[in-house]
Amino acid sequence: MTSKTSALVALALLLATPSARAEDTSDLQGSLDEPVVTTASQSAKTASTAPATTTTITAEDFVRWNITSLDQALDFLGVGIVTSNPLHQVDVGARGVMITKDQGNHFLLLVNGHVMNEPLFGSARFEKGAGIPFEMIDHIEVVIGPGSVLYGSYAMLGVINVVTKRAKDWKGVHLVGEFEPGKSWRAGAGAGALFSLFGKPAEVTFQVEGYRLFGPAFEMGEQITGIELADKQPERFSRDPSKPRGVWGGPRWGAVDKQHYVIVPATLARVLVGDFELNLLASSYKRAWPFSDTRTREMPNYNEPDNFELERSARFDLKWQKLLSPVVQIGARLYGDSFDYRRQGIDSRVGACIYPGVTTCVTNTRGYSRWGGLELQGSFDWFHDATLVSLLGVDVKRAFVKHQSDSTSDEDGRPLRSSDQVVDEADALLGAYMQHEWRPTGWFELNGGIRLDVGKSYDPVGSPRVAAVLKPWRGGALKLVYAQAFRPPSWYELRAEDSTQLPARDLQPERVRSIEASLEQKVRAQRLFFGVYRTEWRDLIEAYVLTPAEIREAAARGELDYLRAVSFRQFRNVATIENFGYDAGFDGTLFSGALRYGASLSSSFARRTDASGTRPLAVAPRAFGNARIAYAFGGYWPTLGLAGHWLASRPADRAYDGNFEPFPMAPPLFELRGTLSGKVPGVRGLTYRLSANWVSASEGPYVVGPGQSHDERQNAARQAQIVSAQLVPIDQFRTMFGLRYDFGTGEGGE
Amino acid sequence: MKPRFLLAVLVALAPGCMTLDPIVLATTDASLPMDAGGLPLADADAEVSLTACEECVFGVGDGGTGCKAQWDACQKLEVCVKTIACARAQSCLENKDFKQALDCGLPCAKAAGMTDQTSPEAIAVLDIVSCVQSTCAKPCRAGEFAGKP
Amino acid sequence: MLARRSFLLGVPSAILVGLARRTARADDVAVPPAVQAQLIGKVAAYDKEFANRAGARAQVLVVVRSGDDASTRTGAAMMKELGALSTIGGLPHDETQLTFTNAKDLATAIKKKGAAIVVLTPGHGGEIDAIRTALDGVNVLSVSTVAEWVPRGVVLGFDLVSGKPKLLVHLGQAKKQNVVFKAEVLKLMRVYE
Repeated sequence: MTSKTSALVALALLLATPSARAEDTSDLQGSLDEPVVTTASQSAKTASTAPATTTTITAEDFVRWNITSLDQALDFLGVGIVTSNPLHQVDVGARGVMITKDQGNHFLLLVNGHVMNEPLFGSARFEKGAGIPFEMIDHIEVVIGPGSVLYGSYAMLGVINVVTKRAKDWKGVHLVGEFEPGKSWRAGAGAGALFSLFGKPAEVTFQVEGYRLFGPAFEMGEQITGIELADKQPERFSRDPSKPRGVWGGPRWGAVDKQHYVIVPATLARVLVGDFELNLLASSYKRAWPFSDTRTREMPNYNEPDNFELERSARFDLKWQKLLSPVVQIGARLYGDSFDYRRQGIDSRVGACIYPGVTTCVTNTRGYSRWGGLELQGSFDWFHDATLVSLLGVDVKRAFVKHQSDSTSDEDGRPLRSSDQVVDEADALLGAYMQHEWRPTGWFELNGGIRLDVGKSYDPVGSPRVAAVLKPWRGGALKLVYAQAFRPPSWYELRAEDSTQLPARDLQPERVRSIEASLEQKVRAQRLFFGVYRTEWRDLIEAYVLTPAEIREAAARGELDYLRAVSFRQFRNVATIENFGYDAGFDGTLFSGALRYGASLSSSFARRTDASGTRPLAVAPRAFGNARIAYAFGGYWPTLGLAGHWLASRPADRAYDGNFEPFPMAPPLFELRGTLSGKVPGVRGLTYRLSANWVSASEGPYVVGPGQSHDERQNAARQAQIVSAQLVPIDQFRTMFGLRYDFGTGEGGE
Repeated sequence: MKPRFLLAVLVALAPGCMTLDPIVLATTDASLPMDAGGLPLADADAEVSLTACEECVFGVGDGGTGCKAQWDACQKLEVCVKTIACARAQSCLENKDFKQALDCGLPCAKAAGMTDQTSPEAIAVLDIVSCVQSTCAKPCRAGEFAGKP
Repeated sequence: MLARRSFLLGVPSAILVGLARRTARADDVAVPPAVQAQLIGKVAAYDKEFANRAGARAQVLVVVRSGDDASTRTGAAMMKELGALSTIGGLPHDETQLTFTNAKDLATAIKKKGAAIVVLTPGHGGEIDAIRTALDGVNVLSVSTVAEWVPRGVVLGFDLVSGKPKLLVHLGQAKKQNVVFKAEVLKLMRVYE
């Protein structure tokens, strides 16, 4: 071959190979942008091959778009998941299903794999009250769809796993401060280090933070209330006799400035030594909200500074994992949690506090749950190349729950009645699960598993899942998933009774089953997702209000004394839900990741059926979505971020039983957030964030105040006044300024 | 604010655990003072304000004198008070003719301890029911009965 | 005053940085082998010397440590995942598994086989310094399945940051091993000198 020919051949080879086009790194960028997830199958795999629809929200996303709580992350950056804020703990829903007042017990919340839902109410928090120091979060994995196959109860709508940073990403000392003028502040300090302990590599990360919301002071609309039979006077909403009677809210009362706040101190520490990992969490969540509604019956006094809710939690989780052979890996997890709850309500209404010599009753509802357990797990990689992997596990748990409600005199503190809503139970729970993953080729994977849960209060429940993933062409992934999940009745639902609440009978676990199909397509650094689903829910548990005929029958059986109350309720399995719809999303990057963008849209058709018929779900949005874009200029230039999320109009919580005119619908909501973030020039390690947030809607889908329904039997004045529902106000505009200082990181700051 | 926040931090981080011991009062809760208006035991869930019909029955608010005289007489008799309180809870006074009201309220009367249809308590109850059907007919039979929580 | 404050802040920082330089949790394979293999297949194309080094067909050596379970498992997975790739760096390829004896023998084996890429599996943490020295002047792209070895002198590695893979590169060692990454791809990497 002549030298000329050789040169031509070499040139041809160069042009023919991909490296000639390799100046474009978008394909590589796309691979680097694909999340590696573990929650869906408890094994690390890409999101496109995980046996469920999974979204990953990263710490960098938090900074770009100024995300400071879980619910904001889900709204602005999630796919198929949405929250709704009643100025109380947020409701979280997915795929067209949102069950208000459920205390988050249809989503399983994990922190580093540790279950946060507690057994007294099944509750988990997704707003600031989650008590997770935010800068320590590395990423959040959001799995949509039933997830009980590996985790057991509560994972009906999905599983959210908050994963915190390892020391390599949290080295040094970190200080953070944020301020929203007129609204809130947050301050935190944390550190991380790598070291040796007993000759083994070790690391520690921790953060402690405090958050305080102190505004805004909402002005509530005026609601005229009626005459109290007991003293023939208009209703009273204050201990102070000079305060107006017979009216709630409005200019005569003024804005709620004492009964709207949140205080959340929290701390989290994570220690790794050799094969052991220890997680410790502690937090407190104290709050008050400006209005009473059907969920806060004991708190009707207006703008009362002594109305509040307080919960505290402390958790520990000790994990150990060991590879015994190329085939066998075993692990164990020992965990323990303590959760306690207190709600104090001040009620000066004469008819609600009719004890001689008492003008104001103080109701304290308190409860706690303490639980601990041991989980053992074995993983078998039969050919030690991830072709066939089996996972077996067993989780044994013991739980103790207590609850009671007491009424005392505000004047002298003496108890006015015996405790009611008394719960005192010890529970033993067993969960056993197995999962098989088979990947015979690089383009096909099958995942099948089942978990059996046994508890004292319910018959054994099986939660299967089968998933198939096909990668028929480059960048494409087709998934088909069938899964079931359940939620057992909480101990409060099972046992709490008082003069108006009958004990539950034969309460069965709620169940859901779901089938979904999805397509994901990656083209270089762009990713498209489209999925369709159908789910069926049954045996939904609610506080059912007995009809007069049922009351008479129950009285005849001696189950209640209807001289003692006006209405009676009982937790029952009352409803089913059917829904189907789609989730769609895209995201991508350009310019080597400097420009990032994404959007999602979800729409569903959901119907609830109970004894009164079939109707849409209240509060749950039929359609919702989000969009975001950010550009990092680099160096000391700021990163500009713009994010928005949207919800279609939706029925208010009392739309179907409040008899309001017009039919109460919350308007469509559009929320836009602009963020400027970057390094402070000249100060190494110091970064800033500036943000403005605007919401289009002024009210949300929750009826507030004593006017919870329009009753044609009311007196004329009240009828005229409460015809339409007053909906919860929304804080429409807020700004935020934050600084963060990182030092001792060994790098140039964040 | 600052001391309250620090207190919240200490509460969060304090090792103390909540303990609960149910209170059991020796005296029964069921004895209601007569001047409480016969309302049932404190029920914070209750709609404590009166409907237009009830305002007429009890002769308060916009109800004018209504059946106040009959109610004042009833209040002197514990069984009558308990019967009417129960009947109110069962919505027996609203949107019912005379027979329907009696049928609805009879279980209440029995539960309250009424045994004799000619007793002063029974007469007092019947007086109220009759008054509801006549003096308070307009507000009490204005529309369909709707058993609301 | 400013100097004293800076010093006071600097003392704990220095302690923490000093601690940070110690060994991290050993042999964490954070990024799944399937993802590592895919990234190797793509990143190799951005090594300007790869085509010259590999010739018509790239030879890949996967080094395992005898008796180390993690190494055996990762080695088998990497063999399978690399084998499933249609090309590496745009070239056809073959994979061979090699059991580690010592760093010198490893360098000899690389030269003998003409390996373009050598993949180090877990279990070699104690040998990284020797391996780095032995590979000085050897024309090969060394890849670590354990992120912590890149700062210690393996040319390329993978870490997980915020749940996403991150490329790590040791530029100083890359130069010694005739690995020259294009500027465009260096922007996507965390660089160690």
